[in-house]
Amino acid sequence: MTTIEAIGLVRRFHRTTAVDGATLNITAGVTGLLGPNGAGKTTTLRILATVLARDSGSLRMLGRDPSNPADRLEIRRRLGYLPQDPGYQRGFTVFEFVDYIAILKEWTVRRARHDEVRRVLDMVGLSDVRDTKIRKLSGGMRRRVGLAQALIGDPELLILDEPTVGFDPQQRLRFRDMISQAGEGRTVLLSTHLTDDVAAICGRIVVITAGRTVFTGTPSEVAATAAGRVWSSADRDPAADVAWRTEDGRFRNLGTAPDGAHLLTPTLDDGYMLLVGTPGADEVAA
Amino acid sequence: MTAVIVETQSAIHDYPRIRSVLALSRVEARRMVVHPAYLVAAVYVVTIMGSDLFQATDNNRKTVIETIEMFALFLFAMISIIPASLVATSARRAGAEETLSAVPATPRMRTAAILLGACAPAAIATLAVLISYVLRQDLPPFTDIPELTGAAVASTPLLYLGAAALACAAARWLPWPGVPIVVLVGLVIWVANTHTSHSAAAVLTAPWLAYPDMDDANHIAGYSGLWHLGYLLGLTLLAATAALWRDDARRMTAIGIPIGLFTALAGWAQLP
Repeated sequence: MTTIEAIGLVRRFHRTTAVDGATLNITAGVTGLLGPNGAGKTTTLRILATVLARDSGSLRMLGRDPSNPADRLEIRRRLGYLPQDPGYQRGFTVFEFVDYIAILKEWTVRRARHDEVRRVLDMVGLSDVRDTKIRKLSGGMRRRVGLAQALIGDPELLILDEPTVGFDPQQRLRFRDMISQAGEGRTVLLSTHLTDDVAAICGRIVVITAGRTVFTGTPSEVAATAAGRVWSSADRDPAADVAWRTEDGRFRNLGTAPDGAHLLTPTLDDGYMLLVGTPGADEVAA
Repeated sequence: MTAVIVETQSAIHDYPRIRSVLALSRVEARRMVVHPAYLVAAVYVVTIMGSDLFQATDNNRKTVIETIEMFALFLFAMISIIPASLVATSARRAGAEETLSAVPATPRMRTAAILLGACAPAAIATLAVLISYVLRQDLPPFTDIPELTGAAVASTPLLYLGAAALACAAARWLPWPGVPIVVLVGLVIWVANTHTSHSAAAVLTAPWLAYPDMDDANHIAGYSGLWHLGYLLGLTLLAATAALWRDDARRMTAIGIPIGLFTALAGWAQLP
């Protein structure tokens, strides 16, 4: 079943068009939203999180229309959202903050709510610091507090904007495990710059650039878009759009491969790079 | 970023939402009561009262009465703008508005919870004034401090609720740093000026004044204590309406007009 069905989403801020006709079809599982800075990922996620209204386009989430107040309320009851820059009230402890959000999510029975808060804090590994003031936590730990509040109530739809920013490698691995579990039977949509995170946990990928969806598919399908366009050479190939030296001392080149080039098996990074970083990327479609 | 989704949920009546407001109001009440502004003032009161009690050996009860009334009806009531304002603006100051925009509870519900939460400091202050009222009962009237009337006792919660409502309204309409201080200072100057004006109308219509006839020099004869209470209630409800109006304009306009008329009527009827 389709969780999010967006067709031609448009959102403008004065003269800037942040989202310019994005089309998404998100189903259960973990979907990664990839795109360069300024591609419109955050604005798209804010629209999907019911924080921003769209200027035009059609949108249905969880079978409802977020522009209708009653539907929007029902969507919010089934939604968990981690913004790119979640703020935290000074003076709240970790437990108090998550408990506060739980109340705002209509967890009104104190005992059940506290059990739920303990559950999500345990999920993100913050049980030991539950009574610590948030202002005393590191950036990565604060990020996990934000994640904990998004997980309250085991929402059907989880929208995470750059969830792994500030995480150390151990925390990222733990996050992958947690999101993989969360993605079973429900929908997780996350944006990130980290393609290895996406490759590890996302069953599907949506690539956005300049506010438009340029590709939707699996990680291997993204990689496949670079087939025949990645090659190896002893020196930097002038024909390459992008090239870098690899472990074996040879150059990995991306672009239009010359005849007789030693072609390599493309990776997700290659496919993504060619989708968003080269002219004509908009013409590539799944 | 501007033009976020504006909530117009007046048509949505849902029991869980009322329970959410009540649960949230308990959190906001705790945040206000333990706010450093109150705690610092409480330490000050205890120090002053302790010092006075240590020096006054012949009339300790009067010292306690005087201290309770001075602080519960004036100092604490005035500074209650600060905790209410800081609680009302905390999400915005922390940059947490976006997180709170994606939850079922609306800004209107959060404002209502703060207004309800302000009942906690109001109840504590009223209890203190009631204790003072009881302590006075078997004593002869004091000549140097104002009489504590039933109307003054009854107005105590309104002083706190009014200040909190004003703070919420300012937070919703003037969301800039320093506004609570400006509101507080403006209120103090307004009230202080009315006491030097020797005008009964100016004194009686000053906002949230428990003691219109504070001393002999400003004694106002013949005003209606009950209508004054009604006037303070009207002001409090008007401030609460202004706080909620931002997110529920249509309904608050419908409620605000009769409240405004009632406040004007009570303000006129209380005059000698």
